[in-house]
Amino acid sequence: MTEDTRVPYRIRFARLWEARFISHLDLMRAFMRLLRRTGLPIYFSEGFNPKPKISYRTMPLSSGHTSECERVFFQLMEELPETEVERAFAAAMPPGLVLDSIRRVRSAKKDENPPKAMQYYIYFTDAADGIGERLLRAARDENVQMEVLDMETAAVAILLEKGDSSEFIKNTFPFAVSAATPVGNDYVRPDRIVEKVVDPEKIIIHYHRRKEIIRQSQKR
Amino acid sequence: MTGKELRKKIELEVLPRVRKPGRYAGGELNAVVKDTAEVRLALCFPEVYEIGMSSLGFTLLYHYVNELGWAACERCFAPWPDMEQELRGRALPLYSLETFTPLSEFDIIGFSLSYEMTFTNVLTMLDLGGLGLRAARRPDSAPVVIAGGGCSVNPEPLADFIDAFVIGEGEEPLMEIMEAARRVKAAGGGRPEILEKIAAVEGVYIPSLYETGTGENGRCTVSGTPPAPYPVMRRYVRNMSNSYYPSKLILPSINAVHDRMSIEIFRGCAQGCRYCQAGMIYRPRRERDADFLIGNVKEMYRHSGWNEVSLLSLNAPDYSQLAHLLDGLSEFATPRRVSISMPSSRIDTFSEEVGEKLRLVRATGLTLAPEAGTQRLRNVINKRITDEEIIGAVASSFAAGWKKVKLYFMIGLPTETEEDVLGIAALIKRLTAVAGKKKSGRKRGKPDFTLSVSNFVPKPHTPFQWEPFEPVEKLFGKQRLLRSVIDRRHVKLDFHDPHRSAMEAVFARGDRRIGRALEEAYNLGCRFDGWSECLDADKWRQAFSRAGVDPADYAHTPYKPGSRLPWSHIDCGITTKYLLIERAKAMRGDTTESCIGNRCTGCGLDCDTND
Ligand code: SF4
Repeated sequence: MTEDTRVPYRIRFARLWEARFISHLDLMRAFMRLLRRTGLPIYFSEGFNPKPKISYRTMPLSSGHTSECERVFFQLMEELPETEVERAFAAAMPPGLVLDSIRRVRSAKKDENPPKAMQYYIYFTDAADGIGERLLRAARDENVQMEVLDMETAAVAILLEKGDSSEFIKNTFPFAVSAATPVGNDYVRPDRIVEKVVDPEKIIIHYHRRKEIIRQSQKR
Repeated sequence: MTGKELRKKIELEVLPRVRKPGRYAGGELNAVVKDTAEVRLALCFPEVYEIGMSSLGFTLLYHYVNELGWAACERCFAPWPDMEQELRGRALPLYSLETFTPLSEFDIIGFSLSYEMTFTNVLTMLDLGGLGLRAARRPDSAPVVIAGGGCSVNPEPLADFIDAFVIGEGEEPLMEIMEAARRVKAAGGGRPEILEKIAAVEGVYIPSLYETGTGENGRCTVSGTPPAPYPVMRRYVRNMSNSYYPSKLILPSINAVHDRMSIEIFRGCAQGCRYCQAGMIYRPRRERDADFLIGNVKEMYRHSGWNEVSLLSLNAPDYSQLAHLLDGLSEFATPRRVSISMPSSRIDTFSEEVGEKLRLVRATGLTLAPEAGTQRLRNVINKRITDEEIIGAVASSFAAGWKKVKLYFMIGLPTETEEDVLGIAALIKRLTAVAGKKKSGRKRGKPDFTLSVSNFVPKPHTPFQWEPFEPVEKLFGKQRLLRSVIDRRHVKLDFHDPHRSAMEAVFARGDRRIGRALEEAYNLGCRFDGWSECLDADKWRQAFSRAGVDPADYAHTPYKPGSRLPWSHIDCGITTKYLLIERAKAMRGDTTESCIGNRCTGCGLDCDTND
């Protein structure tokens, strides 16, 4: 066995539906088991308690939030075509985690295209009391780009359950904003901004990670 | 409200507001969701998700029933008080995780009872599920509420709330109950007809069919006249070797207490420790076939990706196919980096053949349960292990490189004296000395001793079922004594709360009247009494006094051997005569050998399945 063959891959997947209520730690645990279920030649760490080597390297997703842009880096002991790896994963994904793509990457250590920011869609069951205005102001104070979303666009992004209609989403959440928060030292959790303005006891808020912004976005 | 609507409401309004929402969300890999079924069973575990999902019996029954094409089995766990409050505040019912169906809409509700201190949670689940507490007041349209598991060998404290108990191992009688319910439903019948039918299933006890009387000390006793079977015979699986075991197990989505492949290598125990209820009520010892288990683990892994397989039994060295099993498992597990673990391993009791293979097992440490500190007292409880063997076990596991030793002892055992308690400390001193010295050249890390001292609780259907629970002050005194003589620089001491043990004693050896106190306690807000942060002694005191029940009487009054006991109508197959002989031998300090290998000691089971 050529112990030193380590071929890095990156999986992108969505976390939707039932899987939104688990913690980051549980998600990582689920991912370890997923890797094993694929039956692929996984690269394990050495030592007393060998584990598949994986890294997440994005801001952990809070419990309750959904996401379209989760990504995890892992390594195989063999160079396999992306399609083959994709097929193995597709057959093993647990409910609520939806495979997007798998790419062979150059390095497991360095992210070639690290995201600069995270774009969230944030949904509210009530838009009363000029919430919109106050949210935008709070976001400006924190240097976070925020804008009010048109509900047609917003609704399709979170079909939280198979079989949900966008009508249902629009009826449940009549109001939504998007917020792009920079990743890194000045990362601000979007719920911190929102909860300055809105009381989550009174209004139901749903957070959805829409996409990673790779290039520095243009100032509007 | 349909299941889908309830799910939406729960997911949107409730789950974002509770701790660990994953407990209530369902949707795990390998969960079985059936839209239609002729009979629907809600399997209920009166503890939190993480604990219930770690219960072997619970998951086994879940998958076993779901093997039936026409039946659906769904799960429900006790809601933590924050969730209970959210549900109540919104007038929402407790529901199953598979289809978000309120408990009241099932045909059968089945509770898995493994610990007495979960009884108030049973009431929470009945109440929040919309079933009402008392069985007698439930309408004909309500589901049939059944309960089984270890605690059902003394069902009386819950007899007012449960329609039917399944005594003993659940697989077979549960199937027969499902069949009966299917036939009744097909003929247009409901709850009363189902109950009538299942009364004939062996091992089923329906309290409402029996008369109660007053026995010794004013205890409530139960007697029956035909057609109600008397006594009610415990059920057990006669042939275990290839008996059903699931291979596509549901994967807990939030971290369960035991998050791994657990395989049951055998059921029952032949050792005959006199305090041990499991060792009596799951007799005889019945092995599963090693090749069956190996095949099972391969399947389980494919469906789960778990990284550990754990071999469960009451005493692993007794398993006759252990060498073969370890070979087969390691052949599969090693290349996949799956570890094999075995709790409670005593290296020195394994055969030489197995001993060589133990390096395949991931040793986290040695767990030893001498239970008593002196040879005399160990003879009384029939724990046939000598000081020398204990020291040898610790020495050989340190030699094998294990650094952790966990020791279990009990205080408050029958005939115990101060000398016996001090014996625990003396033994520990010798053990730490053995572990501390030696090691030619190479320096090893400091040994890590944990000493867990629990309080003896007399359990029904054991030779000690007549004994009283020791007064709480005496137990505290013994704890103080141990604390003062054990050098805690080397040993971590862990004591059980005597007050909680006293309550366990009340429920374990209680009668039907205890149910009243239970209901009062529930109404006063007692929940999760097994959790030290939740147990509210004041509320319980109040509950007992409102119910007119003196807990001290129940815990501390001995029962007269030969008298009618609150659980005398339940027959576990072991004769009272045998229990009395064992008790007499205990008082004399005589031991009884294990009944393994055709050395039957005559417990009354007349078994031929034990090898
Ligand atoms: S009948 Fe004999 S062999 Fe069977 S469990 Fe009892 S003592 Fe053991």
